[in-house]
Amino acid sequence: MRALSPFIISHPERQSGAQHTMFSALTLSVWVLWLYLWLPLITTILWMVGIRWTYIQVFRASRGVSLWVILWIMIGTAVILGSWSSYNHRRFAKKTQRRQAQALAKSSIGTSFGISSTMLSVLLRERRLNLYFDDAEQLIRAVAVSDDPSPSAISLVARITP
Amino acid sequence: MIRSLMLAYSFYYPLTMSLFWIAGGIIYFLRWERRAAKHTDPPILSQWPKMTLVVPCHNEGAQVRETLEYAAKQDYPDYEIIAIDDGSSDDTGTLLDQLTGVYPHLRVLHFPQNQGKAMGLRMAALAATSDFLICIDGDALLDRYAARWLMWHLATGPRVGAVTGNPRIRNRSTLLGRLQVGEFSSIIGLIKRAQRVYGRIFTVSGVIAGFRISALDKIGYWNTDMVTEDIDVSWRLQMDHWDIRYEPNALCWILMPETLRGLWKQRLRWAQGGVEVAGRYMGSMWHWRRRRMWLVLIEFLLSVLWSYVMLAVLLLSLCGLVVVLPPALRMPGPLPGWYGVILSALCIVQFVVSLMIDRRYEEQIGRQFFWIIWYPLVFWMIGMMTTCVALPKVLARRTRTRAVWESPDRGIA
Repeated sequence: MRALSPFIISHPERQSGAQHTMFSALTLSVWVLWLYLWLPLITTILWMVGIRWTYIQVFRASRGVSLWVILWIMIGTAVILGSWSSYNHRRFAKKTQRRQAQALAKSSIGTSFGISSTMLSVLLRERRLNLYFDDAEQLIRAVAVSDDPSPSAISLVARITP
Repeated sequence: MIRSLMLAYSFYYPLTMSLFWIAGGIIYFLRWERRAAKHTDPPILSQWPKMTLVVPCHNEGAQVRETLEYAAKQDYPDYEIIAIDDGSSDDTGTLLDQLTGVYPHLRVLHFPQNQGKAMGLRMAALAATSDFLICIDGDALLDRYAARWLMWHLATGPRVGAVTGNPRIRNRSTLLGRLQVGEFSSIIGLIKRAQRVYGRIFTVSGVIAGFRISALDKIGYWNTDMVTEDIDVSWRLQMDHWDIRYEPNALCWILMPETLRGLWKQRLRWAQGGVEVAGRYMGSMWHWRRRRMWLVLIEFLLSVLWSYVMLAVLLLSLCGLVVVLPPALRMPGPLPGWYGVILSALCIVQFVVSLMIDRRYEEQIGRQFFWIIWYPLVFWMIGMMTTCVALPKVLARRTRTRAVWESPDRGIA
């Protein structure tokens, strides 16, 4: 696309919101008015392609899909979800329903997993670990991996019996 | 009578749900997104709590270097990364060990045998030195600001047990890739927003989610015997009255299947996961204090019912082409009626709404939609087929066995 001539001033973004809305509405209205003048011709063409039959099928049909039903579902879903959301927002937005959740002590988390404090300290401290489990999915060994990854360099740091 | 009910249900259920998603998406946008800052301008807190970024990996040798590179570039003041090498048979473990030399805040847990993602997450919660986890997949690239967006909810909302982010599809080489771009944007994104507006979320996205460890401790962490650990943990957190939030600004770039086989396996797993979770907790749901989960469960059960009704309608329609059926079983012929036009129009409306919302997060997303304007119809068909297969599979899987990793299809590199 060629650039506009430097003589032309075109900055639609500088309009105020009200100006923009007003001119958009005005344009739309005149478009509708202009199309309205064509109505006799449009009606004739639509009759030819069976628009009346379509209208009866879609809006008046007792057994088919009525657009009125669809419209009611659209309005219903929006109203239900919107009202529910507004109700929740008004009721809960500014209220704290639960006291500030306290952070758990690490020892308590260790207890939840059924491991010893020794193993827990290894898990929290070491950067590279091999973890071993029994058949009941219980962590039974945590082995720190030394910088040398060969098996001989692996040092057993902790072993527990849960 | 039954025929009319079947036809009405097969048409009005997806139509009503789509309209709910559209309405929910618009309400969410107007309330939380319209005036929100850009995703590159996250909220500010005077003090950010330490967090642990968890990356479970199984045979991720081709991706893990890039994943950790992005994980290590988080715009977050105080965090560690815990990567789990879950019985990988490739070089994932070696790579992770090497990367500890590059990233000083990286820690690595090696499992000699494949224990499954849930066990990896459990061990990360145990080894974490912070009170919060942000979990991503081993092939996911985390946006630089994602941690701040997720942690803001966890740090400021005492009821918040988990926050889920906004997965974005990276691979778009094929139609299947593009389909999923549209799906995550126009369907999953709208569903998450609508569920957030309702107040309960069906599931966090396992590929990016933040958790409060004290909330996880109350519910016993992730279960290791569920096909989809993310759906399971989401339901249990909410049944324990924790809030789950959706944060669309927390972006995470992911790889998705680009073969029909890969896509089918993934979707079947999702459907199985939903059926499994609904089946396990249906009995314990009916307490007044858990009433907000009732609609989540009822909606899921209605979707399962719809799948079978739709299957029956399609099969009877096909049979009607070959043999003469009794009037009570006779379905409409193959020519679409006005219901077809309405569903097609709904596809356009759904895409337009999601385009309006989603362009905040990705420029030129509309180009993807052009190719897949029909996808919402296909989405329902895939849902129908996977659900119809998943239900008998779950019923047949009576014993509780551990869910372990299977490497997914990750599309064309």
